[in-house]
Amino acid sequence: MTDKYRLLISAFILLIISMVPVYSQEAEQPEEPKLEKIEYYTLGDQCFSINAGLFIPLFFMDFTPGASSAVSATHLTVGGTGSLAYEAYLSNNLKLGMEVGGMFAKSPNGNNVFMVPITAKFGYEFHFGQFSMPIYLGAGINIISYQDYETNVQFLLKPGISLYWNYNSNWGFGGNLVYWVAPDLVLSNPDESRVGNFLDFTISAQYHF
Amino acid sequence: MKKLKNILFIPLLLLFLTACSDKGIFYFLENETVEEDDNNLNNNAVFSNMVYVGGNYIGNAGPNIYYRSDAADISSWSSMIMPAGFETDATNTSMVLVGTDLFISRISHDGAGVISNVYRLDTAIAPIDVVSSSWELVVSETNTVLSFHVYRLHTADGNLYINDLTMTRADQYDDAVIGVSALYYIDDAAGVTPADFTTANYDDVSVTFGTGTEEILKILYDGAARYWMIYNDDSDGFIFYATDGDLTTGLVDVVDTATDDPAVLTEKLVDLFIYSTTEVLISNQDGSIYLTEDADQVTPAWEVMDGVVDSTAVTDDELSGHFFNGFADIDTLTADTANMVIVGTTAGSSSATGYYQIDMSAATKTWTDANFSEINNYVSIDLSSSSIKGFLYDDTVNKRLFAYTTFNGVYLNYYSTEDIDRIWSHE
Repeated sequence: MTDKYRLLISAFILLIISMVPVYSQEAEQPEEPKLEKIEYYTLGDQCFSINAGLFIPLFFMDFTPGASSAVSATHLTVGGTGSLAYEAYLSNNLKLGMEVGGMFAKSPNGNNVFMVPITAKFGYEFHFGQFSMPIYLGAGINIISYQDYETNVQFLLKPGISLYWNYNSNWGFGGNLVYWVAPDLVLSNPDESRVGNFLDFTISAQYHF
Repeated sequence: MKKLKNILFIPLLLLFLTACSDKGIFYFLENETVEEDDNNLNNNAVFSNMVYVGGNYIGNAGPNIYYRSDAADISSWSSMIMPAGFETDATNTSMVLVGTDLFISRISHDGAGVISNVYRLDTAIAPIDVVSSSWELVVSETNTVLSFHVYRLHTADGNLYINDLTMTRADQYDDAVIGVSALYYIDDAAGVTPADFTTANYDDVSVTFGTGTEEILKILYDGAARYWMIYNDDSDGFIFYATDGDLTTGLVDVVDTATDDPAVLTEKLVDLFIYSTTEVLISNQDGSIYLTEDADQVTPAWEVMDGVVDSTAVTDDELSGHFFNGFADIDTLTADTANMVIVGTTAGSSSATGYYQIDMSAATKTWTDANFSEINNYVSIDLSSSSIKGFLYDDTVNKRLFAYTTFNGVYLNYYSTEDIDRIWSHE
């Protein structure tokens, strides 16, 4: 074999070797990542929340025909409220549970008004990374007490929205904004029926298990 | 679809099951007004009783006597000058108005002994002009701290009655107990002079007390036939009546416990009230009120007056140890109070359950909330949970009703042109 042939063969081998990475690069071209939905919660997951904050009286509504004003002042001060809630996940987003709470506020003469709502709660929870934002509706009974005047048991609706930062898989911290639609119906004397409209803003700690 | 209908039915059912209240709390809050406190009387002042005379409301507040004019709904209270020598270091044990004369019994401890006095004040002297010498001393006793006198004054049909309680104790640090109780009266006290108030001029009623240790609670004249008197011994209450004339010697009989309801007499009594001549009401420490509508009978029949207010029974159980005290006839107060008697509740502490009204017009007496104040501020102020010592409704011209309480001061009920309603305000 002459030197000329040796040079040609060497050049061919080098050419082949130099082409290997090119084919190799083509072979390792990454595939498009698959978008998979992360399921934070599944059926059977549960959570427990404790909430405390401010109770903000808004107004009373009077649906009596011919009433001089449909909306009137509550004359209550800003008060305090708190609640305990237990919820179970039906799916990643749907929750069902119950909540027991209490509130107080003062009347113009410094007397306390108390309400104890006991509600069933149904909610849908949005997830954004470490944050979750449930919206929900509570419905149940509301025990209203004022002085020795009377203790009324009434129906109650509590739509609300919350925002939580999930510190880890168990604990989340955030706040709630809940609107109270609280009728105080007097069937024996409809003129005295009113619908209370209140707002509560609470901070919350939530434990998932 | 049928299941959905059933689900929707549940909250509606819940709504009607729960919304069966008799009163609207939100409605009440919407209408609640702030308790007014326009007058200067201390809101912890305790009046043991009040009288109305000479255009002034007068309250006995222990060491002091306060008064204010009836010229306006809002008028400042002043302290009356007390008798000479006892301006400050003495306590009023009672106060009554006999005609236009104000009588007070007063007790003082000067370190050496106990001085018990009865004074008379002619109310023709304006309270602001009263000086210490305006008080006329009509009875005076000085005794040791181991045995001394406490006078309790009563009045009925223009007579002054003095319940003379001789208090004894074995040691100066022991509690004093009633050793002897005697009842004296002076006929037409408004017309007698201090010189008449001598022991020799006392008419001893000579009530035959069981043990001699009873304190007389009240004496009333029914306006037609009888004097009524109640007192307690250590465990029971007793009712006396005089069948004719004055409550004097020989005219006093004990209500026959054998033929009358003995329940009245097996509890200590609290208060006595006569409505419309023949209806006598007596409250006892069991929390009940007893009524007889045939007070002119020799053996009146008694019935318990437990009532119902807003579907809640007004009984001793409901009152939880409170009892009824301080009756007043408020027939002319408003159009809504015709035939009404108001009665307070009282207890050992400041907390009780305010007052009730009884409609006396029906054969079966009906109880009610305070209908002249239901739409104002009664429920929202401390009066509704106060222990009430009594009412004063003698000013029927200005239609002012006073309620004096234990530790919650004195309240006035009047027509407020600002609120367009009758309201209670703190004096």
